[in-house]
Amino acid sequence: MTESYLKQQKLVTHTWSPDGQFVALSIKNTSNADIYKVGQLEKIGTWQKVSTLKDASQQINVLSWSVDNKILIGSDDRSVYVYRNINNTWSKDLVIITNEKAILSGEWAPNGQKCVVGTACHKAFVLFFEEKNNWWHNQQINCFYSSVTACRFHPSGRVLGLGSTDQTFKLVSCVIQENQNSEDQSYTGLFKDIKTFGEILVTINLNGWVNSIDFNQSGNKFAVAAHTGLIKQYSFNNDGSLIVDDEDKNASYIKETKPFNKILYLNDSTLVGVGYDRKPVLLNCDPTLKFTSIIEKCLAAEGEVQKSGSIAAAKQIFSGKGQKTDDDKFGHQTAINSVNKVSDNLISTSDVNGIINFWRI
Amino acid sequence: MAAVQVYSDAIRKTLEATLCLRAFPSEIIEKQSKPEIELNGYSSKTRQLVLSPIYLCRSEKEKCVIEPSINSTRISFSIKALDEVDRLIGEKFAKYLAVRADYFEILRRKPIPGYDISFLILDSHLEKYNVQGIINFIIDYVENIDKDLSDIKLNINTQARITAACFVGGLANQ
Repeated sequence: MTESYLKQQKLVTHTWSPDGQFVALSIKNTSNADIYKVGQLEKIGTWQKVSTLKDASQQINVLSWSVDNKILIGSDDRSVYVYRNINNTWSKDLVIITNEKAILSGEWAPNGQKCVVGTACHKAFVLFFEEKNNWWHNQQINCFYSSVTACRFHPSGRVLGLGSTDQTFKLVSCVIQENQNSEDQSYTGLFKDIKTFGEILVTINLNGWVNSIDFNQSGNKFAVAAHTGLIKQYSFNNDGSLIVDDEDKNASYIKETKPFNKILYLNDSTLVGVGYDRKPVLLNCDPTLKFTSIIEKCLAAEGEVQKSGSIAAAKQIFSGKGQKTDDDKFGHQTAINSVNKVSDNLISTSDVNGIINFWRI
Repeated sequence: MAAVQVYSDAIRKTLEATLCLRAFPSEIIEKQSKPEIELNGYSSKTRQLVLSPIYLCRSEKEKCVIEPSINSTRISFSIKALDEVDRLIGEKFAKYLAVRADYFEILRRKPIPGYDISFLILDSHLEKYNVQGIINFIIDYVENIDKDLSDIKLNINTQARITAACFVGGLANQ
């Protein structure tokens, strides 16, 4: 039931709750965000809808679940919503934001006290909660010449990476001086001494629109995926400055694949990229970026092969009917739009046709 | 035949790269999404969203231009016309298809200036149809257009010959 509903209504993106028990899905046709309680992981038919967030009037592009159970929603109708779960009911907070165009990207900070949204009006906004007014206020970052299509917080929460369709990536400081609670005071890694807002620390020119950015868990490396099919990895020195690699030793350009829509560090040594090739690509990123493999079979395909057994397979061969390939039956038929880490060796991907697949690493 | 194959292979490879489209809301008009390739030049703000056009020429008269952008791609073809009859057939053929553009969905009703037929492919088309299917449709068109037009020309010549023979025969019998 859920499976056919998703295929009919189409999916934009998905995100998991911190405990992995719930998943939020952005439904394209209804412009709602549905929250499901997960039954059996790869059997989407067992998922139960528990809630629907109906406030957006157009497609929800940004869906992010913070560590302290808040949901951030950003929509094509230029609205941003922050929901809190109070006694199993999702209630909306007031958000003050002065953007003029659609929200394209967004994410919570690692400590869940602030978030960033990238917009089509060439700006990024960092939202933080003001206790005395009981609303989410914003500070804007205005340093791009085109839409901000990718944003990601550094593990410190004091610096964020922003990518744009003006083919640049910028590392910008984002410490909110008005609200010291929004910073993680216990963090002791890179950028712990940053105290400014809006200061551009690094600018990188790429030869294509920036599709995705990610930082590794320890915060000493980050990777940028451009629309040319290129993924470039950069490293920081101990003082936070970028190691400049003139010979492009860290760049990985995979000639036979198409652009990546999203990249994700699974751990400090593994990066996964998903996009127009419709299958996840694994890259080894320690010490330099190197192509490892393509994950051919998703979890549903593995399960189906085990279930069919030798008699069913033999019947199919001798009856003369062609066996459907796993790609036709289980894989993605269109580009993968979204990837999330479910556990240390499992990722989930979704495409616009409402297919959600799980892949074992 | 080999020349057509090289031409169509080049178009196929280019289309596979340029048909990596995504849904993208307009930077000029709020709450709307427009094909950026059609808005190219309307505002300097959206210049970054449109890529440089790619020209593929089989000969001076037979060429193709592929104009990619972030959420749409426009492909235009110029049909080879060696004489007036070829030019007329090409025009009529292109008009016939353009009038029925609604059925084809990816066909642009009016070709861009300098070309005979244009296709406009949006991200919504790629959600509905298989990318390889759309590319195969366009390649089939490229590979068969010459044959279709020469068949039409042969048909016209045959009909003209039969008509002329009947007319002259009638005159002779008088």
